[in-house]
Amino acid sequence: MSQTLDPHAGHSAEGIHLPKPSVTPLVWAAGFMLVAFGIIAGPGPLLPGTAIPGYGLSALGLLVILTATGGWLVGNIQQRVHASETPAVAAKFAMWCFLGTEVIIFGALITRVVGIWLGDPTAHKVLTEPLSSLLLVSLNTFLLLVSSLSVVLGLSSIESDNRNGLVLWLLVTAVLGAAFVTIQGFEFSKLVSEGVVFGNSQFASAFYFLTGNHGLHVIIGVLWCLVVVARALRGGFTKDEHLGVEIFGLYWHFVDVVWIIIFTVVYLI
Amino acid sequence: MESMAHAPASGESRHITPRTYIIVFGWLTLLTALEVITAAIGLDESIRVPVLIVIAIIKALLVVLFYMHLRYDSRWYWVTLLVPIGFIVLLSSILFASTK
Repeated sequence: MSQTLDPHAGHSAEGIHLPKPSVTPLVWAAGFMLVAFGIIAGPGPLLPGTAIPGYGLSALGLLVILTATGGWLVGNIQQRVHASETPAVAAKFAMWCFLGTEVIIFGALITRVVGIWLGDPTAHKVLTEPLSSLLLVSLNTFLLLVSSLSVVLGLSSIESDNRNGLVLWLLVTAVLGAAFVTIQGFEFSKLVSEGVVFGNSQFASAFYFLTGNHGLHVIIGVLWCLVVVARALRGGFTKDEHLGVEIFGLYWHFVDVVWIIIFTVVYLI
Repeated sequence: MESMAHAPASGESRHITPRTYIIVFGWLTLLTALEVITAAIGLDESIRVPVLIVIAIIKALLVVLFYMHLRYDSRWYWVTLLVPIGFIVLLSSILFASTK
Protein backbone atom coordinates (compact mmCIF):
# COMPACT_ATOMS: atom_id res chain seq x y z
CA MET A 1 0.00 0.00 0.00
CA SER A 2 1.65 3.15 -1.16
CA GLN A 3 0.16 6.63 -1.21
CA THR A 4 1.26 10.24 -1.19
CA LEU A 5 0.15 12.65 1.48
CA ASP A 6 -0.96 15.07 -1.17
CA PRO A 7 -2.75 13.76 -4.25
CA HIS A 8 -1.47 16.80 -6.17
CA ALA A 9 2.13 16.11 -5.30
CA GLY A 10 2.74 14.81 -8.78
CA HIS A 11 5.66 12.52 -8.06
CA SER A 12 6.06 8.81 -7.80
CA ALA A 13 5.22 7.40 -4.41
CA GLU A 14 8.26 5.33 -3.68
CA GLY A 15 7.76 3.65 -0.34
CA ILE A 16 9.90 2.56 2.53
CA HIS A 17 8.82 0.20 5.27
CA LEU A 18 8.57 1.71 8.72
CA PRO A 19 7.20 0.03 11.82
CA LYS A 20 3.73 1.01 13.04
CA PRO A 21 3.44 3.43 15.97
CA SER A 22 4.65 1.71 19.11
CA VAL A 23 4.88 2.28 22.87
CA THR A 24 8.25 0.48 22.91
CA PRO A 25 10.34 3.69 22.98
CA LEU A 26 8.47 4.83 26.09
CA VAL A 27 9.08 1.47 27.79
CA TRP A 28 12.75 1.64 26.79
CA ALA A 29 13.00 5.14 28.23
CA ALA A 30 11.44 3.95 31.51
CA GLY A 31 13.90 1.03 31.58
CA PHE A 32 16.90 3.28 30.98
CA MET A 33 15.65 5.63 33.70
CA LEU A 34 15.51 2.74 36.19
CA VAL A 35 19.03 1.67 35.19
CA ALA A 36 20.29 5.23 35.70
CA PHE A 37 18.59 5.61 39.10
CA GLY A 38 20.05 2.26 40.16
CA ILE A 39 23.56 3.35 39.19
CA ILE A 40 23.11 6.64 41.07
CA ALA A 41 21.85 4.77 44.17
CA GLY A 42 24.88 2.44 43.97
CA PRO A 43 25.46 -0.62 46.16
CA GLY A 44 23.82 0.91 49.23
CA PRO A 45 20.20 0.23 50.24
CA LEU A 46 17.65 1.59 47.82
CA LEU A 47 15.51 2.98 50.61
CA PRO A 48 16.39 3.36 54.31
CA GLY A 49 15.54 0.18 56.16
CA THR A 50 15.38 -2.04 53.09
CA ALA A 51 17.81 -4.75 52.04
CA ILE A 52 17.42 -4.12 48.33
CA PRO A 53 20.58 -2.54 46.90
CA GLY A 54 20.39 0.35 44.43
CA TYR A 55 21.79 -1.89 41.73
CA GLY A 56 18.62 -3.99 42.08
CA LEU A 57 16.80 -1.11 40.42
CA SER A 58 19.29 -1.25 37.55
CA ALA A 59 18.66 -4.98 37.17
CA LEU A 60 14.92 -4.31 37.03
CA GLY A 61 15.54 -1.62 34.41
CA LEU A 62 17.60 -4.06 32.32
CA LEU A 63 14.78 -6.59 32.54
CA VAL A 64 12.31 -3.95 31.31
CA ILE A 65 14.64 -3.02 28.42
CA LEU A 66 15.17 -6.66 27.39
CA THR A 67 11.44 -7.41 27.55
CA ALA A 68 10.63 -4.32 25.48
CA THR A 69 13.33 -5.21 22.96
CA GLY A 70 11.99 -8.75 22.62
CA GLY A 71 8.45 -7.47 22.12
CA TRP A 72 9.65 -4.97 19.55
CA LEU A 73 11.56 -7.61 17.58
CA VAL A 74 8.59 -9.99 17.52
CA GLY A 75 6.23 -7.17 16.48
CA ASN A 76 8.66 -5.97 13.82
CA ILE A 77 9.00 -9.43 12.28
CA GLN A 78 5.22 -9.84 12.25
CA GLN A 79 4.83 -6.48 10.54
CA ARG A 80 7.40 -7.37 7.90
CA VAL A 81 5.44 -10.50 7.05
CA HIS A 82 2.41 -8.29 6.39
CA ALA A 83 4.48 -5.33 5.25
CA SER A 84 2.84 -2.08 4.32
CA GLU A 85 4.85 0.84 3.04
CA THR A 86 5.16 4.38 4.29
CA PRO A 87 5.10 7.12 1.63
CA ALA A 88 8.46 8.62 0.70
CA VAL A 89 7.53 12.13 1.83
CA ALA A 90 6.37 10.83 5.21
CA ALA A 91 9.57 8.81 5.57
CA LYS A 92 11.74 11.88 4.93
CA PHE A 93 9.65 13.98 7.29
CA ALA A 94 9.98 11.26 9.94
CA MET A 95 13.75 11.34 9.50
CA TRP A 96 13.80 15.12 9.91
CA CYS A 97 11.70 14.78 13.08
CA PHE A 98 14.22 12.25 14.40
CA LEU A 99 17.05 14.65 13.60
CA GLY A 100 15.11 17.31 15.53
CA THR A 101 15.28 15.11 18.63
CA GLU A 102 19.00 14.66 18.02
CA VAL A 103 19.37 18.45 17.99
CA ILE A 104 17.95 18.50 21.52
CA ILE A 105 20.34 15.77 22.73
CA PHE A 106 23.49 17.30 21.25
CA GLY A 107 22.32 20.83 22.05
CA ALA A 108 22.06 19.90 25.73
CA LEU A 109 25.49 18.23 25.75
CA ILE A 110 27.15 21.14 23.95
CA THR A 111 25.44 23.61 26.32
CA ARG A 112 26.95 21.68 29.23
CA VAL A 113 30.46 22.03 27.79
CA VAL A 114 29.94 25.74 27.09
CA GLY A 115 28.67 26.24 30.65
CA ILE A 116 31.86 24.70 32.05
CA TRP A 117 33.98 26.66 29.60
CA LEU A 118 32.37 29.92 30.72
CA GLY A 119 33.27 29.06 34.32
CA ASP A 120 36.83 28.07 33.42
CA PRO A 121 37.98 29.46 30.05
CA THR A 122 41.23 27.46 30.15
CA ALA A 123 39.61 24.08 30.81
CA HIS A 124 39.71 22.94 27.19
CA LYS A 125 43.28 24.02 26.42
CA VAL A 126 44.50 20.50 27.10
CA LEU A 127 42.63 19.40 23.95
CA THR A 128 44.50 21.64 21.53
CA GLU A 129 47.92 22.04 23.10
CA PRO A 130 50.43 21.26 21.73
CA LEU A 131 49.66 22.30 18.15
CA SER A 132 49.93 18.68 16.95
CA SER A 133 46.77 17.85 18.94
CA LEU A 134 44.87 20.62 17.15
CA LEU A 135 46.14 19.40 13.77
CA LEU A 136 45.05 15.84 14.58
CA VAL A 137 41.50 16.97 15.36
CA SER A 138 41.54 19.19 12.27
CA LEU A 139 42.51 16.17 10.18
CA ASN A 140 39.59 14.26 11.68
CA THR A 141 37.26 17.14 10.84
CA PHE A 142 38.54 17.08 7.26
CA LEU A 143 37.91 13.32 7.01
CA LEU A 144 34.30 13.83 8.05
CA LEU A 145 33.86 16.63 5.49
CA VAL A 146 35.24 14.36 2.74
CA SER A 147 32.88 11.60 3.88
CA SER A 148 29.92 13.97 3.48
CA LEU A 149 31.10 14.73 -0.06
CA SER A 150 31.40 11.01 -0.85
CA VAL A 151 27.80 10.43 0.34
CA VAL A 152 26.37 13.09 -2.00
CA LEU A 153 28.55 11.85 -4.87
CA GLY A 154 27.13 8.37 -4.21
CA LEU A 155 23.63 9.85 -4.31
CA SER A 156 24.46 11.60 -7.59
CA SER A 157 25.71 8.28 -8.96
CA ILE A 158 22.48 6.41 -8.25
CA GLU A 159 20.46 9.38 -9.59
CA SER A 160 22.38 8.75 -12.83
CA ASP A 161 21.56 5.03 -12.56
CA ASN A 162 25.17 4.23 -11.71
CA ARG A 163 24.89 1.64 -8.93
CA ASN A 164 28.61 0.80 -9.00
CA GLY A 165 29.36 4.46 -8.36
CA LEU A 166 27.01 4.42 -5.38
CA VAL A 167 28.74 1.35 -3.93
CA LEU A 168 32.19 2.85 -4.46
CA TRP A 169 31.39 6.22 -2.87
CA LEU A 170 29.59 4.65 0.09
CA LEU A 171 32.55 2.34 0.71
CA VAL A 172 34.74 5.44 0.75
CA THR A 173 32.31 6.94 3.29
CA ALA A 174 32.49 3.85 5.51
CA VAL A 175 36.31 3.82 5.42
CA LEU A 176 36.48 7.54 6.27
CA GLY A 177 33.97 7.09 9.11
CA ALA A 178 36.01 4.19 10.50
CA ALA A 179 39.18 6.30 10.22
CA PHE A 180 37.46 9.13 12.11
CA VAL A 181 36.53 6.84 14.99
CA THR A 182 40.01 5.29 15.04
CA ILE A 183 41.68 8.70 15.27
CA GLN A 184 39.19 9.72 17.96
CA GLY A 185 40.12 6.59 19.91
CA PHE A 186 43.80 7.54 19.57
CA GLU A 187 42.99 11.06 20.80
CA PHE A 188 41.08 9.67 23.80
CA SER A 189 43.95 7.35 24.77
CA LYS A 190 46.43 10.25 24.51
CA LEU A 191 44.21 12.43 26.71
CA VAL A 192 43.82 9.66 29.29
CA SER A 193 47.60 9.24 29.44
CA GLU A 194 47.79 12.99 30.17
CA GLY A 195 45.36 12.65 33.07
CA VAL A 196 42.17 13.79 31.33
CA VAL A 197 40.02 10.94 32.62
CA PHE A 198 36.22 10.64 32.71
CA GLY A 199 35.09 11.61 36.21
CA ASN A 200 38.29 13.50 37.09
CA SER A 201 36.82 16.88 36.29
CA GLN A 202 33.53 18.35 35.12
CA PHE A 203 35.08 19.30 31.82
CA ALA A 204 36.61 15.85 31.18
CA SER A 205 33.27 14.14 31.88
CA ALA A 206 31.30 16.55 29.71
CA PHE A 207 33.90 16.30 26.93
CA TYR A 208 33.97 12.49 26.82
CA PHE A 209 30.19 12.27 27.06
CA LEU A 210 29.71 14.68 24.16
CA THR A 211 32.44 13.44 21.82
CA GLY A 212 31.86 9.80 22.77
CA ASN A 213 28.18 10.19 21.98
CA HIS A 214 29.10 11.68 18.62
CA GLY A 215 31.60 8.87 17.98
CA LEU A 216 28.84 6.36 18.73
CA HIS A 217 26.68 8.07 16.12
CA VAL A 218 29.53 7.78 13.60
CA ILE A 219 29.89 4.05 14.37
CA ILE A 220 26.14 3.57 13.84
CA GLY A 221 26.45 5.57 10.61
CA VAL A 222 29.27 3.34 9.35
CA LEU A 223 27.21 0.21 10.06
CA TRP A 224 24.17 1.76 8.37
CA CYS A 225 26.36 2.73 5.39
CA LEU A 226 27.51 -0.89 5.04
CA VAL A 227 23.88 -2.06 5.14
CA VAL A 228 23.07 0.36 2.30
CA VAL A 229 26.11 -0.96 0.36
CA ALA A 230 24.94 -4.55 0.91
CA ARG A 231 21.47 -3.63 -0.38
CA ALA A 232 23.00 -1.99 -3.44
CA LEU A 233 25.19 -5.03 -4.12
CA ARG A 234 22.06 -7.21 -4.02
CA GLY A 235 20.50 -5.08 -6.74
CA GLY A 236 18.67 -2.60 -4.53
CA PHE A 237 18.17 1.06 -5.50
CA THR A 238 17.57 2.47 -8.96
CA LYS A 239 17.55 5.87 -10.57
CA ASP A 240 13.93 6.34 -9.47
CA GLU A 241 13.96 4.43 -6.17
CA HIS A 242 16.80 5.29 -3.81
CA LEU A 243 15.04 6.72 -0.78
CA GLY A 244 17.14 4.51 1.51
CA VAL A 245 20.28 6.28 0.29
CA GLU A 246 18.72 9.71 0.86
CA ILE A 247 17.59 8.87 4.38
CA PHE A 248 21.01 7.50 5.26
CA GLY A 249 22.57 10.64 3.75
CA LEU A 250 20.44 12.89 5.97
CA TYR A 251 21.69 11.05 9.05
CA TRP A 252 25.34 11.15 7.96
CA HIS A 253 25.29 14.84 7.09
CA PHE A 254 23.60 15.63 10.39
CA VAL A 255 26.44 13.85 12.22
CA ASP A 256 28.83 15.98 10.16
CA VAL A 257 27.00 19.19 11.12
CA VAL A 258 27.15 18.24 14.80
CA TRP A 259 30.90 17.73 14.50
CA ILE A 260 31.29 21.14 12.81
CA ILE A 261 29.72 22.70 15.93
CA ILE A 262 31.67 20.50 18.36
CA PHE A 263 34.96 21.24 16.58
CA THR A 264 34.40 24.97 16.97
CA VAL A 265 32.83 25.11 20.42
CA VAL A 266 34.89 22.45 22.20
CA TYR A 267 38.25 22.62 20.46
CA LEU A 268 38.74 26.02 18.84
CA ILE A 269 36.99 28.60 21.01
CA MET B 1 3.84 27.76 3.49
CA GLU B 2 4.03 25.08 0.84
CA SER B 3 2.71 21.59 1.30
CA MET B 4 5.14 19.09 2.68
CA ALA B 5 4.28 16.82 -0.21
CA HIS B 6 5.75 19.36 -2.61
CA ALA B 7 9.16 18.30 -1.43
CA PRO B 8 10.99 16.37 -4.12
CA ALA B 9 10.67 12.70 -3.41
CA SER B 10 13.43 10.26 -4.12
CA GLY B 11 14.43 10.23 -7.76
CA GLU B 12 13.24 13.74 -8.53
CA SER B 13 15.88 16.08 -9.78
CA ARG B 14 16.93 18.84 -7.39
CA HIS B 15 19.15 20.34 -10.08
CA ILE B 16 22.23 19.73 -7.99
CA THR B 17 25.20 18.47 -9.92
CA PRO B 18 28.37 16.81 -8.58
CA ARG B 19 30.12 20.06 -9.53
CA THR B 20 27.98 21.97 -7.00
CA TYR B 21 28.77 19.37 -4.32
CA ILE B 22 32.49 19.72 -5.01
CA ILE B 23 32.33 23.53 -4.92
CA VAL B 24 30.56 23.34 -1.55
CA PHE B 25 33.23 20.94 -0.33
CA GLY B 26 35.90 23.43 -1.44
CA TRP B 27 34.25 26.16 0.62
CA LEU B 28 33.94 23.85 3.63
CA THR B 29 37.63 22.97 3.44
CA LEU B 30 38.63 26.61 3.02
CA LEU B 31 36.49 27.70 5.97
CA THR B 32 37.88 24.90 8.14
CA ALA B 33 41.43 25.98 7.33
CA LEU B 34 40.45 29.56 8.18
CA GLU B 35 39.02 28.37 11.50
CA VAL B 36 42.18 26.50 12.46
CA ILE B 37 44.37 29.46 11.53
CA THR B 38 42.11 31.83 13.50
CA ALA B 39 42.36 29.58 16.55
CA ALA B 40 46.11 29.00 16.23
CA ILE B 41 47.39 32.56 15.76
CA GLY B 42 46.17 33.64 19.18
CA LEU B 43 43.80 36.46 18.32
CA ASP B 44 42.12 38.33 21.12
CA GLU B 45 39.09 36.47 22.49
CA SER B 46 36.74 39.35 21.61
CA ILE B 47 37.59 38.83 17.92
CA ARG B 48 38.35 35.12 17.84
CA VAL B 49 35.11 33.84 19.39
CA PRO B 50 32.62 35.70 17.15
CA VAL B 51 34.70 34.95 14.03
CA LEU B 52 34.80 31.22 14.85
CA ILE B 53 31.07 31.10 15.62
CA VAL B 54 30.17 32.84 12.34
CA ILE B 55 32.40 30.47 10.34
CA ALA B 56 30.89 27.43 12.07
CA ILE B 57 27.35 28.65 11.33
CA ILE B 58 28.24 29.21 7.65
CA LYS B 59 29.75 25.71 7.41
CA ALA B 60 26.72 24.11 9.07
CA LEU B 61 24.38 26.02 6.75
CA LEU B 62 26.33 24.91 3.67
CA VAL B 63 25.94 21.25 4.67
CA VAL B 64 22.27 21.62 5.59
CA LEU B 65 21.31 23.64 2.51
CA PHE B 66 23.24 21.73 -0.16
CA TYR B 67 24.18 18.27 1.14
CA MET B 68 20.92 17.76 3.07
CA HIS B 69 19.05 19.54 0.25
CA LEU B 70 17.08 21.80 2.56
CA ARG B 71 17.46 24.59 0.01
CA TYR B 72 15.38 22.53 -2.39
CA ASP B 73 13.12 20.51 -0.10
CA SER B 74 9.92 21.46 1.66
CA ARG B 75 10.09 24.34 4.12
CA TRP B 76 8.30 22.13 6.62
CA TYR B 77 11.60 20.36 7.19
CA TRP B 78 12.98 23.67 8.47
CA VAL B 79 10.39 23.55 11.24
CA THR B 80 11.71 20.23 12.51
CA LEU B 81 15.16 21.78 12.69
CA LEU B 82 14.47 25.33 13.87
CA VAL B 83 12.02 24.49 16.68
CA PRO B 84 14.53 22.36 18.66
CA ILE B 85 17.35 24.81 17.91
CA GLY B 86 15.19 27.67 19.23
CA PHE B 87 14.34 25.56 22.28
CA ILE B 88 18.01 24.88 23.01
CA VAL B 89 19.00 28.52 22.51
CA LEU B 90 16.20 29.62 24.87
CA LEU B 91 17.08 27.10 27.58
CA SER B 92 20.82 27.69 27.37
CA SER B 93 20.26 31.46 27.52
CA ILE B 94 18.20 31.04 30.68
CA LEU B 95 20.83 28.69 32.12
CA PHE B 96 23.77 30.97 31.39
CA ALA B 97 21.89 34.05 32.60
CA SER B 98 21.01 32.33 35.88
CA THR B 99 24.58 31.14 36.53
CA LYS B 100 26.21 34.56 36.07
